[in-house]
Amino acid sequence: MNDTASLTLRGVSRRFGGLLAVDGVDMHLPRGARRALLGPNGAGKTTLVNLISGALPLTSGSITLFGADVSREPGRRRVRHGLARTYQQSKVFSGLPVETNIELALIGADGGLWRALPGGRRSRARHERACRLAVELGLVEQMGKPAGALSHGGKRQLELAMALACEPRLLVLDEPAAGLSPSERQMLTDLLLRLDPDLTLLLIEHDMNVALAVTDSVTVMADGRVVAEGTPEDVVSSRLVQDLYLGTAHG
Amino acid sequence: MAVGAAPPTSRFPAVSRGRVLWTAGGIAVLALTVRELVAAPAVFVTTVLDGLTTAGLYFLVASGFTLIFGLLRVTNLAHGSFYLAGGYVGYSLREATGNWFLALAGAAVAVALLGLLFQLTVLRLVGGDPLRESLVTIGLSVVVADMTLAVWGGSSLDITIPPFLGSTIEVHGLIYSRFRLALLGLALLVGFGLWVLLHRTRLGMTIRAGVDDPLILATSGVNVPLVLSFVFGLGSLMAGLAGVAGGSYLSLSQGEDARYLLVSLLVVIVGGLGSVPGAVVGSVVVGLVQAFAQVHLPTYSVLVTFGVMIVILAVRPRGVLGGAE
Amino acid sequence: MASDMTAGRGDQATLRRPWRAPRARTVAAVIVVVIAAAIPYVTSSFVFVQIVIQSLWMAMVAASLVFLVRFAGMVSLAQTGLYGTAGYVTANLSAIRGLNPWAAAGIGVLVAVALAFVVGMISSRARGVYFIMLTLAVGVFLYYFALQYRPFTFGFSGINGVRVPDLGPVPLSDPLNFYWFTLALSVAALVGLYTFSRSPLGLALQADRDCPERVEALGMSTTAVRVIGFTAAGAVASVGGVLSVWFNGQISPGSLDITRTVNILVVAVLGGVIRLEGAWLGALLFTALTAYVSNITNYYNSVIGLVYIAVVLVSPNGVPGLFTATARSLQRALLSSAPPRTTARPVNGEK
Ligand SMILES: Nc1ncnc2c1ncn2[C@@H]1O[C@H](COP(=O)(O)OP(=O)(O)OP(=O)(O)O)[C@@H](O)[C@H]1O
Ligand SMILES: [Mg+2]
Repeated sequence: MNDTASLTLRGVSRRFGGLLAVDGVDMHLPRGARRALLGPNGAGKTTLVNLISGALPLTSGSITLFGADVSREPGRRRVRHGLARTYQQSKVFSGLPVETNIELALIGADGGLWRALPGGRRSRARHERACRLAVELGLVEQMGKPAGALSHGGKRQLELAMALACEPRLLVLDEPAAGLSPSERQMLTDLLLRLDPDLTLLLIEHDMNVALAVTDSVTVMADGRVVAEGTPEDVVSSRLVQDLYLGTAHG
Repeated sequence: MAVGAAPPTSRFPAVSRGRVLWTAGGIAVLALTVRELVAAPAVFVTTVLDGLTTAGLYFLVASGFTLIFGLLRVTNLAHGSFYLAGGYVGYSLREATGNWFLALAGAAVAVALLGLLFQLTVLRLVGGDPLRESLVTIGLSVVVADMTLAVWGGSSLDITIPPFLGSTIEVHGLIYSRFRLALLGLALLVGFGLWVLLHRTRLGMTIRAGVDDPLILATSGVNVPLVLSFVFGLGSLMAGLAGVAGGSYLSLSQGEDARYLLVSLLVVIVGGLGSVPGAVVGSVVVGLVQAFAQVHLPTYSVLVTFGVMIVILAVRPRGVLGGAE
Repeated sequence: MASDMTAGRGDQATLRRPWRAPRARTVAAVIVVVIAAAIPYVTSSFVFVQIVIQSLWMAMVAASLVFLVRFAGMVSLAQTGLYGTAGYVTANLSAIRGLNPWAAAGIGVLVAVALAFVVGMISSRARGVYFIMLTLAVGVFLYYFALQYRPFTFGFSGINGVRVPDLGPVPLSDPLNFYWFTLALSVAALVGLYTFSRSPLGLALQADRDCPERVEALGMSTTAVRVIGFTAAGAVASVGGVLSVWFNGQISPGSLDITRTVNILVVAVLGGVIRLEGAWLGALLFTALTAYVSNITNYYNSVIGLVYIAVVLVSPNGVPGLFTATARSLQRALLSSAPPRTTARPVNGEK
């Protein structure tokens, strides 16, 4: 209905036994939005990402991606709408070389395995694209290494490379800066700032420097609910948010 | 707060499909029951009793299997061999002493020792990798099969039933074997004993906590290796017990090990891995299905049992009591 | 494990001296070809038939298992059931119903592949130990089916008198011809499985082994990937089944019982579950061991069981792993007086 919306959540909830990890979240991301999702540990941010990406089924509510209701679609179908994500704990194909990891992401982006079957010429083009991504993310030296042998920072970069390989319209990153060194953080920030302006970004990040540098709006969650939403300045200065973060993020 | 009032669940295919299938299954079972009851009530009752006594035997075998899996995460693929070894040892004891109960106890202890020995030597060496541990147990099953063949030969043997259980019992014109009822009683007794152990003792609490979350064991301050060995020994003991019971009610022969391994697998796959209540449900389902299949489709009884397992798996990938995915 | 796996793909070439890797591999290939060509002429007919040819069809079945374990992380104990199914259909159609033996074999393979597809569908959602249990249940079930469904399988005694067909003018009943025929099929299976493993589907299968969630998040269906991988392996196993029926001239429930399942597992474990070629080496070791041990004791099954347990305990990479480990420690011992060299590695990719 609204073709400027990338992602719309309505009353999205998820229950784990007796715990309502995500509790009636509404969110609206217009095309090209850069949204930070903040909140203390256990607020339900990762669970929300899992709901958006389809890794977990909804308990209730609905999710619309680029105008299409995807609430009931499995995760792999949502990718076709242009959704890509990374994981808080790096999930890479540890037994496969880095280049193959990226190529697999490209295969997925090109419409899945069935399209990839003929192989041949297309696989060379794919390899070139993988190399370009690797250069961009500083992985080029490691192309032949098994992904499992990468350093922590390397795995984070690979995560990002795999997500970007999908040429997403909506990119959801779950704490991409966690465990990175200051220089790696700077690289990450630069990369995020260079993203295509049409792309919508939902970024979970505890590091305010990274989060506020690349986003123009903020949603704050606590105990599964959205407790504040607004511009970075408003939200960061609000009492509520400072209370929430006292003893968690700064403690 | 709005979330508390859940929206119509039918929007979510996973839930509704399961419900529809369960309802359909329930109706089918009910319809079949009514039909059988009307057609031949006596046959029906006998078949149900057959199914339940078979279930008792299956429970004896499978509860040990599921207990071991629950705590050690080892699928003991030699469990069928433990059953067979128990039966053979029981046979020899019965022949030597003439006392069936002595044979039962002796065989159970012997198999428990065999299991313990294996766990303490080989499994400990493998250390922690469930996949490799399971692969090692299959090697043991070959050795045990070969050894039992060497000692007891290839022809089938019967353990003589104690005389006072050898006859039949008659209630309202229904005739039924005393021994089979006693077998059911034994299963109930063992089940009750397990329940007491798991729910009424400190050791049992530890075991249950470990089944839920293996990490808890390590941090609970108990002697973990000891508890693991105890459970492996207990699981083996049950297999030995079942071997004597089963060898008295059916007979013992080479190949029975594979049969009871399959039974254990089916029971835990149907009932859910690692849980004793799951083993109860699984044995009753498998036992009843098999009893009815034997009456109506004797040639295909294995097929029918298997088909039921597949249908259940399609609805509940982790078994009836295995928890949601 | 991870480093072992890439060793075969040439990714480690940079670690070796550049000229050395291709040479070692070529030398190994030449040696294998020479040995394979010489075997029929230097072995006694007992060794040739009972050990060498026998090992070839066992290796096919074991290779399907090694493929699944290595590339998909699926320890399938249903492979014996699949090869038995192909064998039974082939035997029944050709020996009982008098169908053309090639047509019978083709149908046998097709039926087994279809069954592999179904088994894959049933078990693809399970992983790890649960997958073992499900596939073992399928395997044991097929054994009982063979035992009970007499109209087709003829129960305990099975089906006898299956004749080996001619390949055009070449009679395959001649052991030498049969040897070349199975060898050619082995090479085809090996090349086929490796090609599959490098195709997008095969890569996705390996990806699924490492992280199924990510596979879904990349827009691919783990179920489809796993089912196709399982079916492909099933095809190789069922070709092994046809060869086994032709080799033995009969099939009975004993051909797919637990002991046979374990035998295949032993072959895979002996060969080390790292490279597919290991299956052929493992099979050769296994048949030789069986022939030798059954000569000196009646308890050869026990001996094989114990050897198997020992190999699982001592060397996760099977007998080749044992050799590389020994070579490495030997090298370390020899070099301990010399200055340490970290870059030189022994040639260990090939058997
Ligand atoms: N699979 C699960 N089963 C049960 N509870 C879960 C599961 N996943 C998350 N939870 C619970 O849901 C709550 C929200 O977790 P979530 O991981 O979404 O928080 P988060 O905001 O991402 O926290 P963090 O900043 O630590 O990453 C937590 O209390 C967590 O324990
Ligand atoms: Mg999180």
